[in-house]
Amino acid sequence: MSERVVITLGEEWMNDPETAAEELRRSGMHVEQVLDQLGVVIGSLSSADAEEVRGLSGVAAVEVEDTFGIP
Amino acid sequence: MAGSNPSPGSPSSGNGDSKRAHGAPAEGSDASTGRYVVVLSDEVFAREADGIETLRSLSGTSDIVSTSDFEFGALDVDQAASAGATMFGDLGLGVFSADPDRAEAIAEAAAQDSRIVSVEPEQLMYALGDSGRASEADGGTAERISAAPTWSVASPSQQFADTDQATWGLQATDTTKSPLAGAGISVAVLDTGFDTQHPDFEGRELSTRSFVPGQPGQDGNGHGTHCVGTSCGPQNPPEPPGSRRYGVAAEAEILVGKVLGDQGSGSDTEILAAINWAIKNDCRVISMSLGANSRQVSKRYETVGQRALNRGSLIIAAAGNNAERSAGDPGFVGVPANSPSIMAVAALDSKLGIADFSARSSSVEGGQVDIAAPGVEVYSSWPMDQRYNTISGTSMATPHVSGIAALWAERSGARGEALWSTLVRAAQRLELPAADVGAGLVKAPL
Repeated sequence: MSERVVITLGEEWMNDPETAAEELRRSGMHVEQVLDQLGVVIGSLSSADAEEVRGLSGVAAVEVEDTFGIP
Repeated sequence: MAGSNPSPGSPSSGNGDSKRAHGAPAEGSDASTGRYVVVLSDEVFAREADGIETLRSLSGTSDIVSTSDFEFGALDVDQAASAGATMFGDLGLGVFSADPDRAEAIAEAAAQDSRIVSVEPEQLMYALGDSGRASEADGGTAERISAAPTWSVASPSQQFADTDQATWGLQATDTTKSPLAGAGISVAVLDTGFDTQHPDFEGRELSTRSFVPGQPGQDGNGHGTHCVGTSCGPQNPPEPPGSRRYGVAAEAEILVGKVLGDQGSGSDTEILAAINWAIKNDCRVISMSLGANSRQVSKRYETVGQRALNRGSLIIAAAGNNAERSAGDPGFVGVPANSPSIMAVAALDSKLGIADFSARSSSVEGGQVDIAAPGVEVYSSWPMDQRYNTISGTSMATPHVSGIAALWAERSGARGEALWSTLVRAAQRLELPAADVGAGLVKAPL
């Protein structure tokens, strides 16, 4: 089962998000958006693959997508 | 003023002090108190936790009181005097006691520390007269204020009201007195979209983009149109029907990112994509009247907030409406406003009191309220045919700060961290806990 996730890239990949996206795809992620100004990649990932992605040196954080509302 | 103070450790008790209190020389005074003032660098300024840590490592004391610990924002002088050090977070200053030998060693250590601008002996200060200079004629009654700084505070009896000319919020923030209107500055408002047919915005430089799948940028809720109105509404709403002024940055370029659906909710995908878009379009200010009731700081929003600041974009977010103070619940600042690099905005009422629903600072790093703005009974634009509406929330306070940030950006050219500091520095201190209102009421440049 895959979950929608937000991946924050660390310094290493921050300036090369396309390479990062390629690596993430190879790790099993379905990449939907690459936010080049922010160093953030959004998509979906199985929880098993999420563990692997967490271990990548260019990844700062893997977090499950959140929902926001009007305060 | 003579530059140096050769004897910071000269006896400061007994005769010295009482003589000073009555003699009150207005100039050239080198009276010292055995205390030292640390000026924190931009690296830690406006980040209270870092400031306290800096003060702790420098002075060697863990007994530090902070001005934000006290109810009503005012330092308890007795408590401060018994503590090892005092932190003035809003000012980026710390004060600690030390004997002269240790003080010298501390000053040497501080010179190597990038978090610190300077360490200087505390001086006795005297009340200033109207001219802004020390009142020499009044020397005998000069007050010692070194341990209890007095800030410019709002009079408790203050009460604002909407007039035919302007909303109470524009009056309270001095927007109505500001000669600036945000010309040349781009402001992104990430919300439920905007009513692009609204006649008050005819001819404005405005672009709308929807990040919500299957929904156009048109505002099917009203919230977004209201927030755009407050941050960037016109100086003179057109007649007929004519309306009081409700908008701050009347000449700013507006970028509307629809990130919340018409039901008022949205996800990271929409919000982060819109922030990315706003930064790419060089928006100096990104206004986000949205949030989630989660205490924990989000790594992604903190990183994104920092990267936005580095790119010269300041993200301003609503602290949240999860408080019910009348029932004893002060709430907490939620995501994303609780990220240290995102400015959190509290809501004030027209008496400059904290709104019942306005969330209080939480204990997580960055979980503090940074600034406050009008957020109760705020009149602004609304989708046609209603045209105008009056509503409340930290959502309404946020665009006041965003619009005023655009005015400051126009005035000084400041962006990113510098713009943040400017807003905090210019804010009017209030007689309310910093945990509730941060630096105080946001103020427009005059």
